[in-house]
Amino acid sequence: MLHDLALTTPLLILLFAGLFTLVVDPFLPAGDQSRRFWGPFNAAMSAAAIVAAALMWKSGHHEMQTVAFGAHLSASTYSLFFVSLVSLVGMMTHLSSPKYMLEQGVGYGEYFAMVSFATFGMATMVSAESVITLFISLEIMSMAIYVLVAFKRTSIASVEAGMKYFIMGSVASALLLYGMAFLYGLSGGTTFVEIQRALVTAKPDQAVWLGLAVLLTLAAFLFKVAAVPFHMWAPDAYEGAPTTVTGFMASGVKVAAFGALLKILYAALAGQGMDDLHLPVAAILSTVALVTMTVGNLLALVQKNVKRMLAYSAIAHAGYLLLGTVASTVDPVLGAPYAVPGGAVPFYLIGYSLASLAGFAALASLGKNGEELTTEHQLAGLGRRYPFAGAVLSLAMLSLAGVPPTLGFFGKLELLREVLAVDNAKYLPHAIILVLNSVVSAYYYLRVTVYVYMRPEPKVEREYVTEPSLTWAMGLAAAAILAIGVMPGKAINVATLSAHAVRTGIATKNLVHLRGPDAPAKVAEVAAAPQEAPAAPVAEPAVIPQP
Amino acid sequence: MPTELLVFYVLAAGVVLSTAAMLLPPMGRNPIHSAIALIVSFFFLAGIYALLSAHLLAAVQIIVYAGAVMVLFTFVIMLLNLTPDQIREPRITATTLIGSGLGLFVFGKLLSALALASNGAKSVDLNDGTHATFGSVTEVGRMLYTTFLVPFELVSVLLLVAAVGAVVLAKRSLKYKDRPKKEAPAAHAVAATDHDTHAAH
Repeated sequence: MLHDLALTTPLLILLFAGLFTLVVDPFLPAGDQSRRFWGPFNAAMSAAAIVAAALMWKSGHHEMQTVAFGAHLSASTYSLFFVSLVSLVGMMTHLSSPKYMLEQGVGYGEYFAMVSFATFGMATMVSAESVITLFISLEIMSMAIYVLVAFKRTSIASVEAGMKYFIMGSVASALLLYGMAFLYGLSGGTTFVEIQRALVTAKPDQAVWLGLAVLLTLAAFLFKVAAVPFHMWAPDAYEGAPTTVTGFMASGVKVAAFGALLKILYAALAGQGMDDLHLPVAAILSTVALVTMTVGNLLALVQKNVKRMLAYSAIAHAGYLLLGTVASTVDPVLGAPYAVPGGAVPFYLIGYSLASLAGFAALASLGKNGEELTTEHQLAGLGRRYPFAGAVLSLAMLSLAGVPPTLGFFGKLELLREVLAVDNAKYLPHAIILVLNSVVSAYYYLRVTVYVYMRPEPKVEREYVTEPSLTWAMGLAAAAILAIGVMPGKAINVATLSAHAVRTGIATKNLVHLRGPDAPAKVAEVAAAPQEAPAAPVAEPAVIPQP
Repeated sequence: MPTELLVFYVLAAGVVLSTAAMLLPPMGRNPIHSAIALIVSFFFLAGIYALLSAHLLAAVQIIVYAGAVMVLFTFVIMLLNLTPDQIREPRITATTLIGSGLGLFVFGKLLSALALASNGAKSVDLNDGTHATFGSVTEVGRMLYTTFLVPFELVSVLLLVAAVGAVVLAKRSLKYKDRPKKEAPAAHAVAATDHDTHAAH
């Protein structure tokens, strides 16, 4: 029990941050100014969660010992990576929020509690090892974000955005629950391990139901990442939400949804490659990816509001990432028919979320006195009057466009490399369309830079939101974009390691019995490796049937 | 088991009759009457669950459906506040056709399953030894606090987030910049319930 708790330390830190904020907030002195304290506090807690995850990664807990609480949660290399990434997103959001929310007239303590709860939901979602945990944590995340989107209640746009997102999100949740109910019906189990075991040995007459289950589950995730044709809610929700919340949604939800999607695709559904599902999942995903990136980019071209433009750009990036999900490699432990995702998607997510956070943090500085000066013309003069925000915004746009030496460039490079490595460049046409799309996207990203630096300043005197923590958020994100962009090797390694660990040790142990005679030897070999790391033995969860 | 069968027939007839009353005129014309008929239907359904040895499910059916869900329904009906002349005459549209088609399909499936079952397909006796604790509070509680401990605890976080979120969105005092004068007293009443704005005054 204690060992299980220790494995979930990063999650518990995030949960504690939210609860503490909620409980102590009423006792703070009256007035909104004192609420600004919660931003740095919650950011520090998120940083503590990152440190905890990094320490657990360092201590080399092996896959075999990382499943906690009867196979509902895991602290594998895979989940630790994604937990750190969502905590980073949470940290940046906390840092960039306090003054901005105060200027918008809604600088309440509950805001920070909600962001922490949403971060907790995301972290649990990417650590989930069963469909029940996955669904409930997805709901925790979504519920907190619905509230955050509608947080600025004085603004009709914010309330409308929250309402739209809530209704559409509920439909997606219903789809996901429906798909998971079918999965449970087919496999008789709720954990990914049981589902994968059952699906690998599924009978042909279950194909229809399996296809239906996979389709429903995929649709729900496509909704969450705002892929075409489930993208309608995104522009309104992104534009209406407070800017810092938009940044949080654009980066955090995408990281969590892709983390969970990769996990459920590889560790639960597609046991032996994508085409083993009696449904052309790889073809569906790659086609949706192409449509999504093209539609997102074309619609982004004509937007006048930068927040709305970034919403369509987020749709386009969801397309790039979806193409990355089909780029699988052979499982390094289990061997041939078993597939694991490559490191491109996790690596791309680092670059995308940092650039989004930097961009939206810079846009948040335009939210003085409850206004949202986010149309292109209102950006004019930013480069001279608030040079730091202008520079960070331009850097974020360059990274999103994929200009070297920013992180965005290496993300796209790695993505293309892995997509082309599949089956003798089977996805060559897709890759070419991706490159063409990137060229198109450069136009609207660079247009922002043109407005920031090359348009005449407006006559009106304009004030900007400035505060140390917002500067820190912008500075940290920009520094990371440049630093990892200059030296991407280490980050690519970490992303690849984590992606290859998408199956936990228990899953591997369970599946290996379904394979050839030399397979147990391979597992024994892997199991022997981590012995220098003294880890308390964890009891085999009772829910997993021994083969 | 003639007594059990008798009880079942009474309960089943209750479900069918109350559901019919919910949908058909004269009760079906009034939303509140429909809602009351639905509660009655839920109670009969709970009786059938109890007959199937699913005692917890029977209790949950009454607490959650007849209690919580019905309060929600009545709230929605109350907020919509439909007058009789606003309720349209039922029309046959594509949606109703598709809906009834699907309903008939499920009904047919159920009938065929029933026919299969009466032709001697394997049935489970819920009263034999192996299923003695099936559906009991003990059994469900044990599952919740052992195998499904994490999801159970996560649900409590989810409920907390939902409750706090609802309060934040619905109850927080607002500082409108350009609030019209006549709304000011109402705004003050709301603000007075809020501790920090109150203290600020």
